[in-house]
Amino acid sequence: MNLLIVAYLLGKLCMACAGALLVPLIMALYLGESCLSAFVISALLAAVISFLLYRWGNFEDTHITFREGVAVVSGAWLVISFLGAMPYYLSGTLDFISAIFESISGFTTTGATTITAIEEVAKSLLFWRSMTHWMGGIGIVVLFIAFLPNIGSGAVHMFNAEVTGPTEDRVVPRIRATSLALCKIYLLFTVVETGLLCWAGMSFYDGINHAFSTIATGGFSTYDTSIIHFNSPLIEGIIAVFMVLAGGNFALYFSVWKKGPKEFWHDTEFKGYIFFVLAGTLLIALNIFYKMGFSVQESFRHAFFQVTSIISTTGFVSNDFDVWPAFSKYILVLLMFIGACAGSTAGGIKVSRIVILGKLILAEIRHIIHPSMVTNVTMNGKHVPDRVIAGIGRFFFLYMMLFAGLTLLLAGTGLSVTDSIGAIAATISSVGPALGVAGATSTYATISPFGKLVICIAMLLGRLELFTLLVLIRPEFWRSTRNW
Amino acid sequence: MNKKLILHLWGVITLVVSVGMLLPLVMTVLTNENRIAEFGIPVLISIAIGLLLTRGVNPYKGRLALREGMLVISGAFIFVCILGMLPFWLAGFPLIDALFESVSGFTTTGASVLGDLSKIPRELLLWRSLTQWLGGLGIIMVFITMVPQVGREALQLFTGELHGESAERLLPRITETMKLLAYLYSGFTFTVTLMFFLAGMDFFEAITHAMAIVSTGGFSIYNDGLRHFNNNAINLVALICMFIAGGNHVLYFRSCREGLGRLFKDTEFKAYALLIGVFGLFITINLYSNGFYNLGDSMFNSFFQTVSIVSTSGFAMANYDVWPDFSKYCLFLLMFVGGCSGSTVGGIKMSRMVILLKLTGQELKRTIHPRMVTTITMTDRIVPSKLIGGITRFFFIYITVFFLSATLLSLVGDLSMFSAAGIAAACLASVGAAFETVATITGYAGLTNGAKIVAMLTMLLGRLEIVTLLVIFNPNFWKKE
Repeated sequence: MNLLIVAYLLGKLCMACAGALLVPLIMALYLGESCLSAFVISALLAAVISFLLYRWGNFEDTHITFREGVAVVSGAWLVISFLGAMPYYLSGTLDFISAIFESISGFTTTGATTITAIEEVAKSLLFWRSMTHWMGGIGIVVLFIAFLPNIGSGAVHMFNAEVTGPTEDRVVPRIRATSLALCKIYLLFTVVETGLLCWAGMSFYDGINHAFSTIATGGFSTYDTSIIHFNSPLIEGIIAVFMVLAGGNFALYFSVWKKGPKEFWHDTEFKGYIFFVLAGTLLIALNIFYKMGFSVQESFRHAFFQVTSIISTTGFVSNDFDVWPAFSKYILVLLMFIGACAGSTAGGIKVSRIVILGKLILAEIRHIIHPSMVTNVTMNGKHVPDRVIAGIGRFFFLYMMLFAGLTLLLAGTGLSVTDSIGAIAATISSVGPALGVAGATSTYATISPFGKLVICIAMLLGRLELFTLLVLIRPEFWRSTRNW
Repeated sequence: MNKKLILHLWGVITLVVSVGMLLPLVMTVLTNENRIAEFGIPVLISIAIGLLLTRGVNPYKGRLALREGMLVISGAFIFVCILGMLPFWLAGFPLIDALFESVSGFTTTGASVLGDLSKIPRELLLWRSLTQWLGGLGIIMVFITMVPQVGREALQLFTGELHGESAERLLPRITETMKLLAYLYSGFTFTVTLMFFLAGMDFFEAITHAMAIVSTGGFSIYNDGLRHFNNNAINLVALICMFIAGGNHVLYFRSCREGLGRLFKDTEFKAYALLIGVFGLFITINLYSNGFYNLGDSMFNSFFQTVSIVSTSGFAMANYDVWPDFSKYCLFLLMFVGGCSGSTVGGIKMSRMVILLKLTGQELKRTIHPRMVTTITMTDRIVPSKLIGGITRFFFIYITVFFLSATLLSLVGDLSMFSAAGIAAACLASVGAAFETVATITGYAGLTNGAKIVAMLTMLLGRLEIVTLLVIFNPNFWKKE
């Protein structure tokens, strides 16, 4: 492995992190908040680490293989989680493990929080918290869509096949252009949503924080009670629409931008996504209408907001869904597993994978009935190669196994079965608020330090689409390349 | 479609069931003459239908296509469940309860809705145990007989059974093999009965429980199941026999010929033993450290429950619903795994899990070495890639059906999340006993009718390996060619 390149790239990332820390630093200075020193120390620390890595690193030999890619991605998460946690830890807001938890939850756009009295925390610190979401989100969009479509196996890889095919030098200019365009869309969404939220009655500070959270499908709010605090159908509506948008494929928006809105209806995954949103809303609305005594309007309002919040893996809360009937909770858990579209900042298994697996079952049934029939699975009118299908089947199995295994670990800390299942389902698909002990209106603060570590691993595994992180634990990865 | 052959096969199966029903009928005649109609009428009906189909329809020879085979199995299963329901229905139970009990019996699940078992006549209890035993026998037979009919490749594709090859080698002597397997099954039942008898049960108790154990069903004739006896010798016999019943019967058959060494060369059997060992230890440690029992009892209880769940029997020697959540979650996970293929267990089955795990390991290896050629082997044999594709599809559909069933149960049954998940998992894997309200198998009596119907469908889907049932409910299936 070429460690020099890894160091060089990580150094660059730390530099960016130090730069980002300057924003809340200036804010703290302006507002005269006591956490100023924490930001100063964190920024300095980031700068020093960056300087050291930079000096050691070297970018002359520009050949990056898969192994360096994995090392950079994993190293980046390690470094950034650590640096991102520093402000929480140094300002005395959280203990070390919780600070790391909060930081990972931020950068993975999960939105699971361990802060119990959010209103009492310094504004600059909360802004940093929302910023981690936003930066994590943009990192994911650019990294996974444009640079490393190979690392997340299956769906991510599939929808942008043109990037993976041809040789490097032909692709690099196109990657630049694509990632720039994606960043523009991301930025545009953020600006528009901030504007709309301010118009709907939020302060500018709240507006930008929630916009950061929404577009990154994160879920951190500046209030303990999340969106319940505002109690405004207008604000809920705006956030819900942007959650749906943020859960869509950013590369699709790019082609809509270029070729017109017809593209939406040519996209199988987007149609499936909208179907899940509508079906989920309808089922939950009916269920809570009959069981919870809401009015028709209220039922649909809360159902729509909660369904969009969960399927886009954001995790905002407009009504305490922990007291909803078990059927509604099951639908929400199912949506957690499904997640939103590939090529977005959302987590979960992703709609495209679910759609392909569903079509595969239908194809198998047809094949049994007509044994000599050639059955194909298509997405967007294109044939899905067998290799991709096999990868998706394996991905699904691994997702479920890791889910079961991590839940077992969490149950080992003494949490109840429902609590453990809820917590892992919510964090492996980067939703955030779970059922039970870490439910809609409570936090992860009460979970033991070991449990928090398990959940951190769940968040990282879910975010890196499992295989990237698991490759690291194989001995072959660390061996020399000479035998390849 | 070869309608004549299908009808003929259904007739044969109906006759077998009517012979099974003769046993409780004889018992009724001897002990309780005014209840003869309960078994007399169903016996007459099934004999009449059976004779009509076997005598009246003359099958011309021919092979069954895979879809026809599926129709034979699913149709026979549903038909037999309806026939088996009749005695319960005629005895005065509501239609849904009677059907539930019959489905639960023939699928070897062991969930019961009859309520207080001490008030139920003995011949009905005997029939209940018999349904499980016949269901188990049928499952083992189907597995062997389907192979020559539809071809090994096709069968492997939808069941993921790996032992087709060994069956193929036995193909010329298929009738003989079937007979031997039936003898093995009956002999095993006889041995278990004898052991239970020696351990302190009376003859009726011994035979009903033996039938439930050999078929990995789980029906007992007492409300509190094996706890009624409070006898560790009985528990030990049950533990060992459940473990054996969860193994591959074809493998036992071959081990009889080739020596016991064959047993421990088998990848699936090794994984089965390992899984039970590992989870048994987990639960032992959890129970002991939480101060539930002393070390010996922790171990006995944990291994008993682990084996009972993995073999999808569903017996209990203690109220495990009060155990710590970690132990309960372990048991919940084990419900999905199930025992070995080629036995009467439900669930995803060991062989599939092992292949899927090996596949994941292989994928990680290939991510690092993209050009590496890798193969997956089971017991020194390479698993064909077609089969692997079928297994990943099966896994997906199994999990999907589980989720849908649990969601529906929570709606129609007004159940808590974990309780609904427990019932869905237990019915899909034909375990029976689950958690909270249904921690004992008789707890199903408290479910709403809607929940009973969903649970019944789940049992059928699980037993018929889902795809079979989905195929025959597909409209294309019934279209003319």
